[in-house]
Amino acid sequence: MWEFVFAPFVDFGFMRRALLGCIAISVGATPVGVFLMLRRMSLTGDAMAHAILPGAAVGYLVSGLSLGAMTVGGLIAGMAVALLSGFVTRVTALREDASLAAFYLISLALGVLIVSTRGGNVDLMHVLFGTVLALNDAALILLCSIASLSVLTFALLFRPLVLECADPQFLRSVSGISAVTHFTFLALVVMNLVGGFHALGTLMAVGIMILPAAAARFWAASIGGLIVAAVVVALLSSLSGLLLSYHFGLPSGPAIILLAGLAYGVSLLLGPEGSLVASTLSRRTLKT
Amino acid sequence: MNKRRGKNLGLLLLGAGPRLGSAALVAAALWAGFYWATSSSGPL
Repeated sequence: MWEFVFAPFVDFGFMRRALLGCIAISVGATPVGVFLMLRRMSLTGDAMAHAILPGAAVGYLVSGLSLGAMTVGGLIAGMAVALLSGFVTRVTALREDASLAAFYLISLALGVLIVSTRGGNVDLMHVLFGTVLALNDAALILLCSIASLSVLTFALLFRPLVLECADPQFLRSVSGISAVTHFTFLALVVMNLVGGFHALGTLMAVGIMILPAAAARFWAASIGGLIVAAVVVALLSSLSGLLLSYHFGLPSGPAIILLAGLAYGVSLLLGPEGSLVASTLSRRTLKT
Repeated sequence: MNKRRGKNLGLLLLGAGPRLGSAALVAAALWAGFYWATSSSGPL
């Protein structure tokens, strides 16, 4: 038990760093995922994850695999796509999902093109799939800062965010902070995706955001309960994904996301809130 | 109108204090983890 679970983290610094990076992402990104799911914006998170790629790629083009440049580039690109798709929705007949899909596809193609023109396949793989086992001090500081800022912001804006999920027009009518809440939330989505992309890559970052939130839906009914359950699922997936990756030589990012997917599958079957088993049992109770 | 909006804002931020305290504890734990992960000795 000790050898399997604890020894990798006691013996190897890179495993401790990977674990801390995953904990930071779990704590910061999964509440964002819960609110994305409650606002029926789960696929928006996926689109935004792709949208940060060209910014990160331009940062890479300017200064190589520099954490700061890629982070700033990703933040700018993510916010630009969010604002542009919102603008197009307001001034044209196109709906938000279509405009977001158009912008993210353009962004993805542009990002891959930029990385491919200067870097090799290894750099492209780094951007697309991240390097959770090679997080340096600067990357950890970034991940911990984003996670700290996220939990503090959620603590402050929890009620407005919940109200905006339930009834955005009511929030708009009773207070002036509806727009502030919406854009702060969008900024948190982009920030957490940019943080997650350093560890898990642009394609996987959204996985640790959405899958635990979707799994938590079958374990809790309240929003606070959903957030706690999602963070627990993300932490367990991260820990077991890192251990599987260490012991069996698997790529760590996909291992973590697949285990989150497994948690989703188990929750879908066995969770106490609206899962297949719970629904079947409640139907039987109603019949008898 | 503005007075009512101010009152509503107060209601929206109700309970923010304890939540901020808990969030600060989580953030402190994260940074303690950062210290543990970056300063402990190990072969790699």
